[in-house]
Amino acid sequence: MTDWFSPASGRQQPQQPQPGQQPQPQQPQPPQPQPLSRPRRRQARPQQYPQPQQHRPVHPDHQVWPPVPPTREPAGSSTQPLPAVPSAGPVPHRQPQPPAQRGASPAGPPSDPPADPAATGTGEAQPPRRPRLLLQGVGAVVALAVAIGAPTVDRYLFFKNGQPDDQVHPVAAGQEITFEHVRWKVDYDTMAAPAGSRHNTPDKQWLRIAVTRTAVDKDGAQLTGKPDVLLKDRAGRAWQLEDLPPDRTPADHVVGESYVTTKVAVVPSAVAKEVELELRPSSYRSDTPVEDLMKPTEDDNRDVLRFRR
Amino acid sequence: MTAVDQHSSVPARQSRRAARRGGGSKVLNAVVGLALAGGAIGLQTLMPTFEDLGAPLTYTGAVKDDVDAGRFSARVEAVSSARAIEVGEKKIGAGKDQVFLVVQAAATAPKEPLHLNPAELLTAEDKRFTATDRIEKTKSLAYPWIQPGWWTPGVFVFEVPAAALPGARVVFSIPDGGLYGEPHLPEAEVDLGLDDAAAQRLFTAPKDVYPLGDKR
Repeated sequence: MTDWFSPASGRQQPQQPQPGQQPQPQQPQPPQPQPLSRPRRRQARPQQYPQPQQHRPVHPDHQVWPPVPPTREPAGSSTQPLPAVPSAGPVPHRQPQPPAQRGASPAGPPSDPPADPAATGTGEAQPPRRPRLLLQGVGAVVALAVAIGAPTVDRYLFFKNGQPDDQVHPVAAGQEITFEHVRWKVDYDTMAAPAGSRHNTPDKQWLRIAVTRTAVDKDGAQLTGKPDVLLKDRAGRAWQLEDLPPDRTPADHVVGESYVTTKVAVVPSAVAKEVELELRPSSYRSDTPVEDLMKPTEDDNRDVLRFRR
Repeated sequence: MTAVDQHSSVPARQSRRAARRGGGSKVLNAVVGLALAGGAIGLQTLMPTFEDLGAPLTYTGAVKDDVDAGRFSARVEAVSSARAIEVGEKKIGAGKDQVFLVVQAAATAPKEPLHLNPAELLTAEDKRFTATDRIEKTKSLAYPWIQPGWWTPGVFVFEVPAAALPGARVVFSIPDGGLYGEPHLPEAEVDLGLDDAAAQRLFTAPKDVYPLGDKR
């Protein structure tokens, strides 16, 4: 240690600094009123800065030069708030800073009493905590909905991919429709129930339906696949039809010639006058080579012809 | 400025240490973590098996109840037993220590025509018997179209030993539709209400012949 420090720490016991300062030195003092010149300061230093030496011996890593002004307390010396000095310059400027720190981190201002951080933690941190809880709840609900909904939608799309919606082509009553090289016509008729049938009751009506197909061109003559047929009422209920044995089975379809298939169905008498035939033409071509029969075709069989009554 | 930095850092470290002390010790955290991990692993054992995940939706009922399974409804009218079934000219006898259980049933569909599968008999021990194939399917309820608007009657015949009768249930189901299999097809499970005495009566006193006429 140099001779500045040892005499100073020895000599400077409380309240001796009469020459430079008035008996205020315990209070934090703004550093402004020391525009001292260097030579004079070196001599007067023990009197001007009594505090650091007064508290404890200087550590090897303690800041010794430039000397710490007495306005700053040594590190860890006190957690008491610094008393505000009205005449002090920087103190009013620093006062609003602790509240900003308090909001940012729950650690609290450094100079607060130990009980104060807890008080501010409950008092001021609650408004932000509730929105965060709400946000977490909403996030959990959304995550759950997505976790359940995403696979569901994916499976539904996969299911829908295999069962596309039908495209219905309505046909006016008694009219024909030419669809993909074939002309179709449907005639509705009723018939008496065959004797001995289990459907021989008045609440059921037997229908005889003639489906006429005519090839329009050479391609139509090859489209000999049996169409899928179903009877539907307005509510969407459906009934199955059975084929009657045909009058003749054509070995080959001839362009322009009509072939009639007669079908029989049983429906409730209440809807016997409103049921309409839905016919789904087959895309099978009779000239398909055997090795191509199992090949997937591009036709998705979505087209349905609905024959109005 | 050095002093100010020290001021702010020291109490922050202290309060962080205080917060850690308040949140519980490391040991407690480890125990909680292990408990959560163990619970998560334990929950995996409750995971349904692959068969359970694809199991049909079962609607249950009793004899003479209309059991609505959504896509179809089924009803068991009566249950009887016979030593032999007469189909047309033929007489088919039950095997040794077995009896024909004849379930008279009816079914309807709300919207689309459909066929039923051959019914199954589910015993009290969850053994399954399918309807016998010694009698043609065309004579059973699995053959006609089940259509909207009316109930289609028919029978299912099971060839079963005596042990299968008490607590037996009949399960009606519909076939899976084609390429895109459905995971949860409906099925109707009808409890035949056979206690031990009724089962004993069915087995020991069957009809000699049950005529299975052509009712078309």
